[in-house]
Amino acid sequence: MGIIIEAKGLTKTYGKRAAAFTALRDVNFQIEEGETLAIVGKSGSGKSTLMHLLALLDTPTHGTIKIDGIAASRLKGRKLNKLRNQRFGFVFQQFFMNANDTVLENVMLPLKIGKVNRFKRKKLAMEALKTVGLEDKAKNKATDLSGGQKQRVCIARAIVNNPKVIFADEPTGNLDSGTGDKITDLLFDLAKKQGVTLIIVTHDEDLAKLCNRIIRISDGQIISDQTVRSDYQAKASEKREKEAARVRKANK
Amino acid sequence: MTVIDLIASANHNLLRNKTRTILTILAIFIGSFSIITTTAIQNGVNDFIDSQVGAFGGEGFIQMYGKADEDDSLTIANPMTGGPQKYKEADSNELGLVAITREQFEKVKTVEGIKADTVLDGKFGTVTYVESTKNSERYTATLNLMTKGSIHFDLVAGQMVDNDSAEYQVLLPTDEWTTSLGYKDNDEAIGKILKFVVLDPITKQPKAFEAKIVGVQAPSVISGGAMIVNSTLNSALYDENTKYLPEVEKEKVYTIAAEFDYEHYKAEDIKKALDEIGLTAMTVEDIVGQIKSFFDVIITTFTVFGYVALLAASIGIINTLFMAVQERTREIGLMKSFGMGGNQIFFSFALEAVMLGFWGSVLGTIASMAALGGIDAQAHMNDGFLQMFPTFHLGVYTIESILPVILTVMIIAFVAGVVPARRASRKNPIDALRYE
Ligand SMILES: Nc1ncnc2c1ncn2[C@@H]1O[C@H](COP(=O)(O)OP(=O)(O)OP(=O)(O)O)[C@@H](O)[C@H]1O
Ligand SMILES: [Mg+2]
Repeated sequence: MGIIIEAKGLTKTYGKRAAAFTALRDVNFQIEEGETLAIVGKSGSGKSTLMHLLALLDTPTHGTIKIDGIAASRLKGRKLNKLRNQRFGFVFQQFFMNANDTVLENVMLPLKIGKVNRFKRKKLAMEALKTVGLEDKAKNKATDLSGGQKQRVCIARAIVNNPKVIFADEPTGNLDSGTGDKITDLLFDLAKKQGVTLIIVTHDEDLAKLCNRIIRISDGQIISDQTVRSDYQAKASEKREKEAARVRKANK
Repeated sequence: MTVIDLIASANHNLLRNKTRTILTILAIFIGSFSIITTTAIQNGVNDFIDSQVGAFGGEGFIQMYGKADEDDSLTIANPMTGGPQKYKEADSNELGLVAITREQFEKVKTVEGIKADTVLDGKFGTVTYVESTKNSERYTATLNLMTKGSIHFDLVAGQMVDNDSAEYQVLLPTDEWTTSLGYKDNDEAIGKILKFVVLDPITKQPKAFEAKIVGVQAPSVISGGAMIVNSTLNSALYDENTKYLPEVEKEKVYTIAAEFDYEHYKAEDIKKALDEIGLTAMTVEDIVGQIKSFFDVIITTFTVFGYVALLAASIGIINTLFMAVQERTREIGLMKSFGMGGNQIFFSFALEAVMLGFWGSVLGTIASMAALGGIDAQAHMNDGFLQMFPTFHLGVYTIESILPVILTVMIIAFVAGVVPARRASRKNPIDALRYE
């Protein structure tokens, strides 16, 4: 599997002169295709900043990002838009939905931008909503949803275009453990079955443990980067064993 | 996004903030309304003048006066310059017109370009009263005569008088006359006899001339409500009017009307030639030009107002769109992060501006049509101010006059929308998303 994202000497400074604040300092790492990566750290450590840079939503003050070996600074206009529209999926920490539009319209937005025809975009959006268990809220206004429902709509929107890379900033932050687990299962299933690269920003250690790689940052710098056999893999086999045990019991 | 999606979302966005959209459209509406209205009035005036003068005809008509002085020759022809005028030693009549000599009259016929057989010597007959043969009512009347086939009048019935005919003929000035003379409509009046009565200057004995009514004119600003008689009737009346005058007085004339060959000669050259004979000349264009220029001043004023209003409206458009950009900054950021191109964002905002322009100007046009249509209908009713002029329509709307205005307004709206649209399209997605 190839390297999909490469970060070299990433530095991000917000503001100017006296008000300048360096949120990210000389960050270097590579992400391989199909990896599940957790970016963990305290609040204000620069996790979201890093994710925005990796997703090409923002430009670094110094350093370079390469996508499939091509420097992001060379990706402009049409190519960049196509990348954002077809290969990336985002879940923002603050959701960012068009409050006055319906849930369905919000989920359809990436497809509408990608010029998918009306019929098909509706069908795909409904499927995505079904995946997150919100198909009955399709016609509701986005503002009328609860926090957890909004988060799920955002996840539906991130997966609707069948992306190769999903960037998720605190995807389970507002969910109860039951719903959270369902969403987590969904994301990791996509990663496993379709080879989607998953980049999750979280301060939830349990969620982080499900990933096969954990990058810890503090004050804008990487303090550890470990690749492990994820809990998710362990959990999955555990689940399978439990299921088998249950079946065995039932058969007795 | 596809173009259809872009249009749909622009429309949707305009409806999202109705108050602001409506106010902006209102500003554009006022500008378009005044421009469309003034052009419609201008069209109406032009059409009216054309119908009065005719598509051809008028161009060849020329009227001459004796020249009082080298420099202020035109004062007599211009009613605007009233005021006291210095007496000048010349053979002038009570109106200040200078008599034209027989010699000058003969010379006019020889001027190159003037049609000799059309030269009328300006011996205008007058009538004491006219009397209907139907209801015996008597009316006073001013008379006029026209050169052969010269000014093409707007007729509502019948035909023009024939100067070559041996019979006496008259053209009634308006259809008001037909009812006053006792006829139920214009058609009934045609072919009937109207008596022209002249009292003998000394014995006061009435003498009647029986003239045939050949037609009825639409009210006209040029003939000014005068009855048009043919040369035959005019000569008979003039002879009766002047029968006690010495021969030299009889031959004295103050104006000459004629036709010139306007297809081959310039009015300017003919005027110059007449000037050398000592005559001042005016063509129909000169006369109509005065009326036209009067309307033109009014119309220009209103058009300028309209454009000023539009200028104000375009500032309104800029404001509306700036607010919309601000309000939707996050939405723009979101769309950009999902791969919407800057060009498309620019296009969608520019489209909103153009739509504002479109609706404003279309509604302005409709309102203008309704308003002028209503006023026009009102004005042609019994007591209306245009009752006298049935062929004068206040608002004349044509595709050629409306479309350019709508397009111009849309272009202005687009230009006004460019700045905010550019600003929207240039935002960095994450900066836009973070915008509060
Ligand atoms: N646009 C900005 N202008 C100035 N400072 C900023 C801006 N965005 C982020 N920062 C600062 O950069 C630092 C890192 O912010 P970031 O949002 O990346 O934190 P985070 O790790 O995602 O925190 P959290 O877990 O609370 O979301 C913070 O100190 C924040 O105040
Ligand atoms: Mg964050």
